[in-house]
Amino acid sequence: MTLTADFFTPSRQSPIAMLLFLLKFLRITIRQAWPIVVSLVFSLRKVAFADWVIYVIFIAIGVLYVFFSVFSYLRFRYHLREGEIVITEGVITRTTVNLPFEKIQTIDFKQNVLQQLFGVVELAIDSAGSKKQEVSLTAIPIKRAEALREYVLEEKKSIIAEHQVEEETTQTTTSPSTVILNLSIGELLKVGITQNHIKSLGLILVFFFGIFEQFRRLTEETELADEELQNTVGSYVESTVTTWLWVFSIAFILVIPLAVSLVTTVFTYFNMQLSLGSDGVKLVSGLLNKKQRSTTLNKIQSVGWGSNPLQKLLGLFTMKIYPAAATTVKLKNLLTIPGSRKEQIDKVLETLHFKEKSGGMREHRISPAYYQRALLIIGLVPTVIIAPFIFYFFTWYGLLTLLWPVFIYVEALVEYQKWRFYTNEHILQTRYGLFGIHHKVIYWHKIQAIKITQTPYQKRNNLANIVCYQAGHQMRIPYISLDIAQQIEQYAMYKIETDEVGWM
Amino acid sequence: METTDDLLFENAPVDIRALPSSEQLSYHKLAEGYLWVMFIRSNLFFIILSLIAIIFAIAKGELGLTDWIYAVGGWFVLWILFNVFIPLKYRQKGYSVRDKDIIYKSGLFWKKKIIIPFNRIQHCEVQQGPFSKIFGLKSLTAFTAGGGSSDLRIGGLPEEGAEELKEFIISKITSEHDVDS
Repeated sequence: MTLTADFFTPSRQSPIAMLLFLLKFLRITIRQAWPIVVSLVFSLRKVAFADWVIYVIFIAIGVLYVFFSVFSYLRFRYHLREGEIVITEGVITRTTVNLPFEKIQTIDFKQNVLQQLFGVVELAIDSAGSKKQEVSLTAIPIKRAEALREYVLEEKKSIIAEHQVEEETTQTTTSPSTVILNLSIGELLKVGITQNHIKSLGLILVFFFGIFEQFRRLTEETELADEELQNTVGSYVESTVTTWLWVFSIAFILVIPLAVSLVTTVFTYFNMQLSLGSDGVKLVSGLLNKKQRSTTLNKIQSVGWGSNPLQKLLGLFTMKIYPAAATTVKLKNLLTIPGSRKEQIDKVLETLHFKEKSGGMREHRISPAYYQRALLIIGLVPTVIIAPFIFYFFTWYGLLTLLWPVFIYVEALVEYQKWRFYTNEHILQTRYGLFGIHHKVIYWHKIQAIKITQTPYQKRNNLANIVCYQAGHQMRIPYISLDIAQQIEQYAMYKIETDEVGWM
Repeated sequence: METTDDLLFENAPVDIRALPSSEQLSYHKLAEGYLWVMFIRSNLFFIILSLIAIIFAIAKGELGLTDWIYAVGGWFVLWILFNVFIPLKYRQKGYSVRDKDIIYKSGLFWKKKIIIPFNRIQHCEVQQGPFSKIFGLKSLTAFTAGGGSSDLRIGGLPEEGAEELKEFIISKITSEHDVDS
């Protein structure tokens, strides 16, 4: 497949891109800033400004948009170069993006009404990179776009085929996919009951406080007029209201979160089926919105599992499978499997070869400075600063603030005591938690980048935090000795740089 | 650092301590012009903040001459302090290109070091902001599949240096036989 030479020299898009840019800018502005615009218009009206001020502002903004659209078009250039697409763009800051063919995952065409009208398409190129994982060319004539896509995908295939020749021989025989977990109604109810109700409670509280705020604002406006009325009926209303309020709030805290978790669990995990085979993992679930998520095995970056105390009592775990994902779609891709039992987790770990490679793991703990510093910095310092004020305003109720450092101390201490990480030559595994215990396991060679950070205190005491970045997943280990952080870094780099399997 | 045994596990396939360490590396400093870019950028922020403060002060009114002297004096001290840290911060920034990876470190009090192997870089970007343009500087960002906070950004490279580094990294990416997708 060959292309005409003009694909290989920097060229602009179809001029219709200007119009599309302008519309895009307008759409973004309207979506983001309409409250500001509305309030601006009204407030300017109130201040006896002449209407022309508003018009001038709008015209100025309009001119600016046209200017930006034209320049975005003029400065946007794309071309092909040996093995990559090169795009230069940017009105103020000039950016050049190079996309090597073999990194490109998909090239999609999108067409809205306008684009259909002018016979152009938007070319969305997904490269599984991070920030610029979605490069899009807004207006390319259809024929040209098709030629481009065909050429790039063909080239990509031939590049990859070159690499893969020696690999195909080592491929293991495929085993058929089998259902390893089918959540029955009973199990589903168990899952619902043992969910983290504090989260549901929080959700409900946020929701109700929102409504309450609205309501209060409404009533406040009529309050002055009602003051006399309230004085007469007030005392009666107050006493009955408070008792009811108590009954209601207890019911609220105990029953409603449970009901909410139950309902949401039933809706999302109804008839959940997890199947596992050599071709990948597939998860189907849902009552009204039936969702299907699947991933191939080599795309999986990490497996996590854990349970809260209630779930532990019933032997239930929530398993999480993290497939490679661009960060923006991270949550959409994550496979969450509640109601797993030990045997299903083992099966998944076995299929991914974590089991056979987990021999000779060495256990490490984090530094006790973890809870000591938490007590000092999150617990004591804010309390010392804020307590006098609270005491001043609320007198002895203010002493309740003193519970804050105690709370932080207990929390951080428990976390410290549960924190473990395990290493062997293939695997890095963590164990952590506050109420329950959670585990996560990754392969060294599936790490993308490593970040080591140190606070001034950690610097003085030879401690460090480490983050192992994966595609769509991160493993963080806080407060470890600098020495071990460096060893993790060095060994991970060694494993990645000599890696021949790839992370996907 | 006195311990000699491997902390991570026994019978390691390699001597981990003998692997190249990023600690004893010598880092390249950023171009000197970048110090000025940092000054301009930070001071622009400071000026905007000052203007807002002045507008508020004038709108409030009722400020005597002594009030103004104190305010301006205090603001001035703050400004000096603010600027003192910029060269110190600048001095901590540095990058190092090794055979198989690239490292960037920064942070005066809060230290940060990020390390990315070439065979995990998805693509590379060279950028030029308006201030960097004045000093003939460009910045280079290396993206991995690890997401936004794992991207490695080196600001303040000389224009041709940035392009060269980018070409070098791209040649490294394509020569690495990593098979994905």
